[in-house]
Amino acid sequence: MQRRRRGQVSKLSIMMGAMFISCGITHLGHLATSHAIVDTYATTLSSTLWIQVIFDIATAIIAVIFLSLRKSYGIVIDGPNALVETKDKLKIKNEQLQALYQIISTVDETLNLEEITQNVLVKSSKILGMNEGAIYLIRKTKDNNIDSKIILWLAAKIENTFSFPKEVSIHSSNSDFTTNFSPLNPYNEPNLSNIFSNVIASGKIFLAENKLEIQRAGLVIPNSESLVLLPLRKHELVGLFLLYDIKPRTFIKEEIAFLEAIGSQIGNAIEKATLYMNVLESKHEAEVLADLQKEFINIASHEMRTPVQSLLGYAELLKKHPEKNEMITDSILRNAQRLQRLTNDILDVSRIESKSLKIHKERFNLSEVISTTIFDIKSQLKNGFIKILFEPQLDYYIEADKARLIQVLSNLLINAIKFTKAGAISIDIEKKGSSDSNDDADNIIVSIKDSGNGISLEILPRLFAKFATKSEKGGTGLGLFISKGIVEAHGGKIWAQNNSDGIGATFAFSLPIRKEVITRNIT
Amino acid sequence: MNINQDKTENKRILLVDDEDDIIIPIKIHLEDNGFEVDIFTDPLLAFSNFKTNYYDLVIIDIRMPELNGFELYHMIKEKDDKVRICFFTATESYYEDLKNSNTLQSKEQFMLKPVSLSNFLNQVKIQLQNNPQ
Repeated sequence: MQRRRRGQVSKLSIMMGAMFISCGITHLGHLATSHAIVDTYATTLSSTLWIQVIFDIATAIIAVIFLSLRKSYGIVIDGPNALVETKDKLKIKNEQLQALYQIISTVDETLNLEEITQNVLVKSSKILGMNEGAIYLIRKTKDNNIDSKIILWLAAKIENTFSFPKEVSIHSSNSDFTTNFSPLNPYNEPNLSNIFSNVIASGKIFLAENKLEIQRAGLVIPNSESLVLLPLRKHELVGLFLLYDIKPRTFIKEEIAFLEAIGSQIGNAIEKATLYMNVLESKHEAEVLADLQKEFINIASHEMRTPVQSLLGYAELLKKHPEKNEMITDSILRNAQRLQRLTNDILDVSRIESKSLKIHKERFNLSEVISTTIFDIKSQLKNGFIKILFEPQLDYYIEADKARLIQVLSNLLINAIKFTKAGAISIDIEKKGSSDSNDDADNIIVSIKDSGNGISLEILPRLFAKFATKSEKGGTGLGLFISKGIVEAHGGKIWAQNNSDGIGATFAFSLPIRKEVITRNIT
Repeated sequence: MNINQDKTENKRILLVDDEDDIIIPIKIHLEDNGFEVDIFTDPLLAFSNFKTNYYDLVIIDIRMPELNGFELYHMIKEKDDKVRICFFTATESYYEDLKNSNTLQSKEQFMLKPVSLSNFLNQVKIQLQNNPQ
């Protein structure tokens, strides 16, 4: 940039020099014709004529400067005050060019999205003299369902008056922004989705020079009198750049050009940084996957070898101590069943992953099945300090795969017991209507609330993933993954949350049922 | 391998594993062969009952609740740095971790499940021969 500026100055000097010489020669010609005899130029020229020559040369120099300004910067000077005005414009232009140069240099030095966006925002707001602003970037979803809903996330902000929302969602139906006048929401956040959706649809910069223009755009920001919303794009739209100020203002041509240059340059930098982030993310995901696979081998080998060790030990012992027959055969049976469960779990995981899990539906009383499952699990309970409460007011007859549903209930109950040292586990059934009036199905929701330690916030987002819940308390960490697979194969959903009182967690699942499902009061 | 039965009789062994069904048959088998065996399924309880300069061999599982085998190893070593400790685990990959941390002095200190009771007994005898007290 500096080199380019030096180049321009040098070109200007040459042009000025050329004009100076040309003007001098012209003037000499003029003198020659005015005075018949000239012996030498230096000796015959009167002092008046010298003043005239100097004035003519100065005029020529100024003409050259103005010509150069018009050529290089498009600045036209009219009137006596024009020079001051031009100097100001030139100063602005120079500052903008320097700012643009700094911004481009900064974004070229890093692939960190946060650094890029924050730098651009701070420098641009300073050069444009605008008080507040934010940069929102488009979040790409993995299913690329970008047509129906666009999510923009807050990447950088300068907040003085408002808290910018962390995310802005735009639905495809949200395009008629001019007629939408949105009141200020209770969180004191500007409603950005209408104006964002319009700029995304048009792909053009939006400028509001006064409050009325801002309000016409469906945006309510108290004390904001001017606003810029700029799409950031190189090959495709990557985000939006918002600036606003408490003073009304007029955007001059140079400022708009400056903003458009930023939109393109920053769009490019963000595209590059996003690609880099995606590569890092994929690398991280691959590493996590490799760790999970290693962990799976560890867990699977532990879970298989442990019962085999017991079987080997007891079988050998039986030969030497036939009198301990009863104790030993019980242990052998227990460990054989444990191996059987592990084998089934691994097979179920494989079926769920290959989407070949078969559901054999039959009609049964859900309340009765839950009671039986609780009874079976209670008989295996070593921990006598835990109560399991289930007091249904109704019988719910549903159509589902009974054996698979028992598997889900058992998994969730055993899980609750494992993490509850003392206290109670309560089970509830609730019938909820579908929100869709065209849908002829309701939902039945089964919830299991425990009074254990709760779910760690680190695990919570991936709770139903394979091995997420594996712990030193035993188990393969496959139970919740399988439960989710079974519930989803029924068309239902499963979820979990920590209880609002801070004690324990609640696991719940929903199953779609026909609206005419028979419920009967329990007598 | 020719094992001298007399040298290993009446030796005291501490066995810590959270699985009842693993340690009960082992305890019976070792006691049948003249060993004195203490067993614990809770590693914290095993540590609080640990007697310094008492055991000839400590055998610990690695994947256990509350306190894993690595932690128990270091806690016991702080109490009794001379006692020989070996690991009895179902997870093969722990061998490399133990080797890399210089916890293992010999390969025999790492016993992988499943193993028959007779082989387990042989390995215990080898451990004790390597560490006569």
